[in-house]
Amino acid sequence: MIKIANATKIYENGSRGIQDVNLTIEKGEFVFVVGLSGSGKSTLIKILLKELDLSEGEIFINEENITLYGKNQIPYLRRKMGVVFQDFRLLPNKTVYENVAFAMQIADASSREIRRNVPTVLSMVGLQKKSKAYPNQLSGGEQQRCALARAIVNNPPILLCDEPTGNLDPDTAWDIMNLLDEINNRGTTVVMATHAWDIVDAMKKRVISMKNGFVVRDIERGGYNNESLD
Amino acid sequence: MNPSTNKDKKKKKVKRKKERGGLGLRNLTYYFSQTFKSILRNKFMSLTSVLTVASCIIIVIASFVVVTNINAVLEHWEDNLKITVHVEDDLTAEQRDLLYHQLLVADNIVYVQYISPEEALENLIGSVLADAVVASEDHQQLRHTFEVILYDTRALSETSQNLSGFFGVYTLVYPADATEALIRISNVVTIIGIVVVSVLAVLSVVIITNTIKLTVNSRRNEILIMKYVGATNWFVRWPFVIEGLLIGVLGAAIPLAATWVLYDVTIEGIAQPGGLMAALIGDTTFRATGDIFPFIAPIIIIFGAGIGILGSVSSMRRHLNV
Ligand SMILES: Nc1ncnc2c1ncn2[C@@H]1O[C@H](COP(=O)(O)OP(=O)(O)OP(=O)(O)O)[C@@H](O)[C@H]1O
Ligand SMILES: [Mg+2]
Repeated sequence: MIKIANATKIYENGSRGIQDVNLTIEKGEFVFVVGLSGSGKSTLIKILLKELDLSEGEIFINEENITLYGKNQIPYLRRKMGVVFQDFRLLPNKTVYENVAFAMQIADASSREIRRNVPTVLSMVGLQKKSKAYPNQLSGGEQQRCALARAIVNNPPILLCDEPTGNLDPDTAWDIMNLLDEINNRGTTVVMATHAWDIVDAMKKRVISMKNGFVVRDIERGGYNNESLD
Repeated sequence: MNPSTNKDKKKKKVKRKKERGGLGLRNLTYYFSQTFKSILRNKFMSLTSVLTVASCIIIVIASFVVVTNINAVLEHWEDNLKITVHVEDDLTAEQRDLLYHQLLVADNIVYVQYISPEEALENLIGSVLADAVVASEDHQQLRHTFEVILYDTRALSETSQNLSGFFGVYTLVYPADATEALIRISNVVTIIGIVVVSVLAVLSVVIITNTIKLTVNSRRNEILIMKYVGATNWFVRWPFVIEGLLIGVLGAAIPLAATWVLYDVTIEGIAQPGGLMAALIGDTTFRATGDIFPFIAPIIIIFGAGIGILGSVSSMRRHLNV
């Protein structure tokens, strides 16, 4: 599903985002990416979204080399990947319903498809009663659930999450994790960058540890600190 | 992820690829509703943009109207320019007739009219000059004369040189210095007009781009999110294009309509025979409303639409590179 080969990203100012990363993530996997601040987790997510171009190496998604994609192909790549960020990134002038519907309008769905799918996804994340609310009328957890609904409404094979629980209290964070687990169980590949060691420890999923841009550990069914990260 | 849904998606993808970010009916509905929501939401900025376009365009229209009217006055003046050919006293009637025909076929001559001394005097009577002329016994005024009108005023000196060589011509009377000055003014006014209008056109694009840039900057986040969710550049761009178009057309139509009405009323009111201008200048030389506005209207509207779209799209361009 995702194959990253010899990938290095050096920013224009010379700082090293990721260095010589080699990873294969299979269809249906749930993968945590952990590491200290500045270790390269967000950079990894951004190169998968093609928000950033690699300095070296290649990335394959579904066997396709996205490193070769031109600007025009990026939107179509992103429709295959749902994204969730720490800061939700909802459109402030659209309601919950419209925010989710927007992702379908972009993909040129018919209004019938939109009317059918949006309520289904909203009830899946437990927001059916808030569909007319605007983002600033929602709690953090609700906003993140809305963002999650938007990310999965087009049924993307891959879901990328950059610290999705970073702004949430522990209980709310677990609500989101349960949703992610459910989405993963339906077959979506989930890649999640996080600092939340308790979540990582409890979930018993694959854990990729990063340090200074390098992948320093990659453990099936691991925890946040299986061994010390030195 | 079960394989069958994956295949379904692939099929759909191929079928839809043409339409995405394009101008299908579904998208058009979306673009227009987005545009109107955005204009309503950013009422203040939309209004500011319209007013900016409007003020630039009103200056463009005003300078055009002024320049074209100065030219109208000059043309009118040129059209009425005559050379008065005074004939030698001792010419016989036949010789005068010969001269008349010579003048008729000479270069750069449109019209020749014979005026007898009696007529010349009659023309003067009633004018302030009549008494003075009669008193001074200046017989020149009582010669036989021809009034000659030229095709091209700019060739005045060549033509007069030519005519003064004709047999029987005593002297030529025409406002030589005034005409030359007039030609010079006319050239300068035309050049100034072209410069002013083009400078203003460029200036309005710059001002409008900057005004709209403020609106777009406030929506930078929105554009970013759209791009993250997988919107094509054109999907993001179209509502801005339509918004720019509306702002530009509105910003052009309002001052156009206003100046049109204002000009019409002004011309009707003061420049018609019997009006204030007529009393001052003695003749109507202003361009008629119908000679200006129907012609500049489409140009101004297209110009407004153009700068609106240009301003809108160019100010959002750099936000698209995500
Ligand atoms: N836009 C940028 N320009 C230059 N350097 C950057 C940029 N973004 C990140 N970096 C650098 O790249 C390295 C990796 O950053 P990255 O954001 O991937 O870390 P992270 O693991 O996500 O950190 P955090 O846990 O704080 O989110 C850091 O050294 C950072 O300073
Ligand atoms: Mg980060």
